[in-house]
Amino acid sequence: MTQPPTILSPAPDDSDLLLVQRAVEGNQRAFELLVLKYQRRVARLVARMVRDSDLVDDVVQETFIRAYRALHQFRGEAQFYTWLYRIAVNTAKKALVDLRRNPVMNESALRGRDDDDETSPVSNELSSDETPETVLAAKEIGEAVNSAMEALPEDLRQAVTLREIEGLSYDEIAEVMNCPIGTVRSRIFRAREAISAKVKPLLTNQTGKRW
Amino acid sequence: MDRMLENRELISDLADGRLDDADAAMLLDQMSADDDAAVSWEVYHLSRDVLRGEWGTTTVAADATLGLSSDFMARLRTRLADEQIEPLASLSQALPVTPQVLRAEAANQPLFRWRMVAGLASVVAVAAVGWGLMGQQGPGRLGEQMAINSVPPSGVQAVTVSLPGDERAVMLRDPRLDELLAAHKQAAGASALQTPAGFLRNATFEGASR
Repeated sequence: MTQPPTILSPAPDDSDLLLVQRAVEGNQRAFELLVLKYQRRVARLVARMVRDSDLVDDVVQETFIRAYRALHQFRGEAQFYTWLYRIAVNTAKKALVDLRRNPVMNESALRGRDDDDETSPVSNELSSDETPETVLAAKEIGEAVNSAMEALPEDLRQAVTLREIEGLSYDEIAEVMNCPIGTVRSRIFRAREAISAKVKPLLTNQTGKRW
Repeated sequence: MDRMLENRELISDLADGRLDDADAAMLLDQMSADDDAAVSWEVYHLSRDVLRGEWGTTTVAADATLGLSSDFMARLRTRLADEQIEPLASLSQALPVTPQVLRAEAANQPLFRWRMVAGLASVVAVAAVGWGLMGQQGPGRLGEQMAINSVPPSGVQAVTVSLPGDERAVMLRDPRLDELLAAHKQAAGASALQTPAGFLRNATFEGASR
């Protein structure tokens, strides 16, 4: 399998705005899908700013709660994650300020640097929430996805690669693969199902029931 | 095709933005009783992260979500259920100008408040500068008024007095002040503090000795 590119184009046909609209209309499940989609990125961002795992958990929770409260203000003029990113950074900074004001705070919870850039280099040291088990679990998940990709039939692998890595739309994939859009849809779904069959047990085993 | 498989296929479409509003609404309603579809949604996006190299490339990035508590989603759902979000449809029907939306606190509200403070400070500064300029342009400018007010009233005399070291100085004598001090001679030589205070100068009147 080829190495994934480091610079990615945004995926077209994003469903974020639709989910936001549904959530604003009162559908909490729509917002929960946004949480499931972005919790990793938000947690990754927050984990770079604070060290304590409990604090990371709390900040991520608070980030999504604040986002939910302000959801009707999201106009779709920016990417949803860009909007969410700002909320997460502000929430993490506020949590750190509160920690510094608290005389019984845990100093180890403070990372000691003003790093709120997700793209900044990361220390090789494990933070307190990174146990060898979780690192191993993450590695296993990554390997499971890649091995499942290797095992896919060529047409499925090509379809999902064009979609997930190259970010092409269904129309573009249909043109590249010279097949109907319905076939593209079916191939992508079957590829995802095959990958999911390998990943789901790992995810459930490591983190328990997540939904 | 069973319902769960059908929902997963719709979830795949939703992940790619291929569902219209009606289908998305139907799927979301069905998902309330279908955990499998939600797990599939999460796995689809996790797989996307892996394939894009956004998973497992750094230690923090690798397991940030694994570091979240296992009941993270359950706790969040409970908190979300307690939140009262204004439905967009009812707002638009009842309140065309959506004043309640404006009242809601923005996620970056503290920043906005500081912007308001900065804006108010700018207005005050401009007003102060403008007031000063108006005072300088008018016929009765502030400096002239002070000069006029500083002219001694009639009856005040300028007397030259001698100081130690052959120095000479001009002292302004006001007859009305002299009368006042003569009438209250008993208070001469003591300050209101009733204690020696070197930083105060007492105004005294010695009458004929002067």
